[in-house]
Amino acid sequence: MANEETIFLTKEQEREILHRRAMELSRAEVEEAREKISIANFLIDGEHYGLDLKKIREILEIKKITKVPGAADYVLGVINLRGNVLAIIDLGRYFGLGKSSIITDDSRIIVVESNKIEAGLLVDSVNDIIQIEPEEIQPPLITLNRIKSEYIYGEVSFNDKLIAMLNLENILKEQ
Amino acid sequence: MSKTIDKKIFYSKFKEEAREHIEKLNSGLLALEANPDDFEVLDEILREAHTLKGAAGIVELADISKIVHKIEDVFISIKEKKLKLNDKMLRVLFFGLDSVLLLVETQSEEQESGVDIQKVCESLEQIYVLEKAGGKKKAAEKSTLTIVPKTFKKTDETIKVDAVKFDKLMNLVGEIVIDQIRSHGAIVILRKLVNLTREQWGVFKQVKRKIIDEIGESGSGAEELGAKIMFMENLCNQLKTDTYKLWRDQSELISHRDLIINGLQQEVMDARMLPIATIFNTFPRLVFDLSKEQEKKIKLNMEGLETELDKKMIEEIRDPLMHLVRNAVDHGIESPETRLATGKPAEGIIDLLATQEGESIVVKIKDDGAGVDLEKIKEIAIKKNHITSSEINSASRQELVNLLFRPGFSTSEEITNISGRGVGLDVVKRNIEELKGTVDLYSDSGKGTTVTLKIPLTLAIIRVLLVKVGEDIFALPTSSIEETIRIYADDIRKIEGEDAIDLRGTIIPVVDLANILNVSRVDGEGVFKEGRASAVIVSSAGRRIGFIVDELVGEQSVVVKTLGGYLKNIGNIAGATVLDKGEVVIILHIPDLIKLACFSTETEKETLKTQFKDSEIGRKKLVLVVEDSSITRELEKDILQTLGYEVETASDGIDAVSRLAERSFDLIITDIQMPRMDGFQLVEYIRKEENYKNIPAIIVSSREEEEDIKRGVEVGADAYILKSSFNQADLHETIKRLTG
Repeated sequence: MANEETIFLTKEQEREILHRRAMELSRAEVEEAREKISIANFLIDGEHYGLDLKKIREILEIKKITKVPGAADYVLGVINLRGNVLAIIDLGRYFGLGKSSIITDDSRIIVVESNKIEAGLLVDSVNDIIQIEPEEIQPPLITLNRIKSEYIYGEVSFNDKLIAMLNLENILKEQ
Repeated sequence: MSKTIDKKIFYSKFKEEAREHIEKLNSGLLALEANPDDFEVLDEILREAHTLKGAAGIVELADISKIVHKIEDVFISIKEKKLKLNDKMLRVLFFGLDSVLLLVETQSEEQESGVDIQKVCESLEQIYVLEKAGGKKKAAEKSTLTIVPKTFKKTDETIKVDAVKFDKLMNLVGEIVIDQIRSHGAIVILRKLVNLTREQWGVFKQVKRKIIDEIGESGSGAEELGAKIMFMENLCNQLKTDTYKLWRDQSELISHRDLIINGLQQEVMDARMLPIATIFNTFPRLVFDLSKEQEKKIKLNMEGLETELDKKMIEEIRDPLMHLVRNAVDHGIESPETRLATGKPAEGIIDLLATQEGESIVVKIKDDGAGVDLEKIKEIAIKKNHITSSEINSASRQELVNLLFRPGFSTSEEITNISGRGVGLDVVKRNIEELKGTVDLYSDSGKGTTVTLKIPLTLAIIRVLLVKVGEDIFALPTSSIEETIRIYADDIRKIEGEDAIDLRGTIIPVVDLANILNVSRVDGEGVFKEGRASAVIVSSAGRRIGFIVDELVGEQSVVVKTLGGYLKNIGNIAGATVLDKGEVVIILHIPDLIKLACFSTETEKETLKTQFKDSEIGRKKLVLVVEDSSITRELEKDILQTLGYEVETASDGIDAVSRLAERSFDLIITDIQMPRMDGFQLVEYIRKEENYKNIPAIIVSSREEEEDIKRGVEVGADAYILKSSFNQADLHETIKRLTG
């Protein structure tokens, strides 16, 4: 049997071991995160789109939208986000995919920010969060896309789905 | 009366900027010591020193400029590998920087710094000697190279706060203020409760007496009833006392909180306040220059310089005020000959007065000139179809004067013919209205003109009337509302094809607000329900109109919020607010709506929009100032504005290129050393671009080397001005020559 010292750790020793273990664990996580990026996958008019999770502030369920007279037709209006006013963009309409999106229980508002401009993007549904490696993003096949190339910077193939990656900076230009 | 821009008003700004530069220089030097071959760091500190020197030069702090120049020289020698950074050199450089910091802190305060400029410069020059002597020569004595930190006057200790953060703070304070207003409402209800419980107590006492009288002490069931009565008595008493206590405590608490919240609001607002002198101080020079140019004699009186305004307001009223002062000189005051001929003293007087009246600031620009020529106004009004000949005859004097505020009423050719005014008054009005203020012009033929601006102290909290239009609620600021009335479908009559009503003998045009806002009603219903609706009578610049709405919801104070960056430029909207239940309500911009309502057809609306644009751009020459030092940038902007130019700024070449794409500029003034894209590259770029190649470009730099001037000319600059000789007269001359 080992001597007492090795069996009964002092509080300090115990803490040190736990701390070291915690550090190792967290390091492992960081390394993994460096390899893969998380993408929110959502649907607009039956097609898959993606946004880097890092660019998403939060995802909201539909709440009361106040219309803004005089705004562009793809601006659905504004909502109250914890006391601040946030413009809501109907992405389907913005891309020129025809009629306005129909708001259902599945509809979500994705709150994003780029160049200090904040807005909420209305999408038909948010499916899942997927992990991909950055290299998996391929240049977009412009001919296959119904929307303008300036709003898409790449495409990812995931589970037989083709996910178009949105170029947020171009979408959120000042009106 | 000062004849130059008082550069001292830029000192505090310079101080802020200089501190930053010095800090970066200190850390850069330390980085360089750790890694002497890092040329990126060297380039950066070289740029920092250069910018600091330029900024000091422009605010005419020659000592600082001189020392920094020496420091810069050392950096250049290091870069050219003539010197190698060593410990001793580093100590001397730090000594130099410390001296500069001390000068920055004291000189701008006009305090004695105790810095021996001569000695600092000499020790910096010693660096070369030391190096040549291979370090063998005895270094300057250690003890002489330390700065004894002086205790500064701490009275103006300032910190830089991000304006956005400040706005958020303002917003939060606004929320508390509104909550407090609600709490006052709760107190009123509590007070009513106190009265009710007292009444209840009184009634209970009566009932108790009655019951006891009726059934007596020993009637059947008296004991049981007695117990119940006692229980009820306790209950009522408890309720009465507790309600009273609650009311008393809460009232006290709220009164106390009133003081705190008022104080908080005041402090936050005060922190954003600047004296109006920051604008007024540029006018003596402007008036002086203009009157010399036009051979007029003018005395400028200014009062109320200490009047304080929100920083944002100060920025926004600078241009309109300048316009008005220019107008007073150009078109108000007559030539000395004319004045003498009409029995006035040769010297004209312009008064600039600022006062605070309640929650507003009033600025008056008054001249004792010729006043507005009504006949000329009539003539132009008819010629430009602003008014029909029949309307002219019935128009009052004030109505005619108000025509001056119409967009596109006067153009530059006509200005010279009008003895009154007209230059960009529509722009002035629009700017002031955007600040929820008003402009009034009063003119007495032959005796002079007074323009009165009234602007609110703050834009954060306003009172609004909530109205229902279709299914939506909108807020109308009460400041522009005259009254609200009930209106019947039968009241409306057609006058010259427009809907109007007779309000106590005055004909007022009315319009369904839903039509202006393009809001639809369910099933195409009209605004009148059972023949009735409400109308809000609003007015702006003497124009009255009634907006018909479905329903009046109520009046309340709200915190004004912006619609956010994405929806920044939407017309007819003053902002938004969030109501109690979390619902967002759009606050409408009444002056804009009135204009829209008065131009009912689409084409007229379009013309109106273009007119706005033209009147905003066409009048003044637009100059782009490209400069990375914010102090130099502001000073140049100020000088140019004083000279009557409209100025946009960019912080480097890249920034300038995006500005160029936004508007068409008449002139570009650029610095050389800037991050990302320097001045040479910028000018080179402009000369290659088809759209920009004809824009004149002036390089303003502190680089005096022949080589740089030559390169400036090579890349295509039209003029090269040295910062050290940057003055208004030269600049004005050069610009006039280039822009024609």
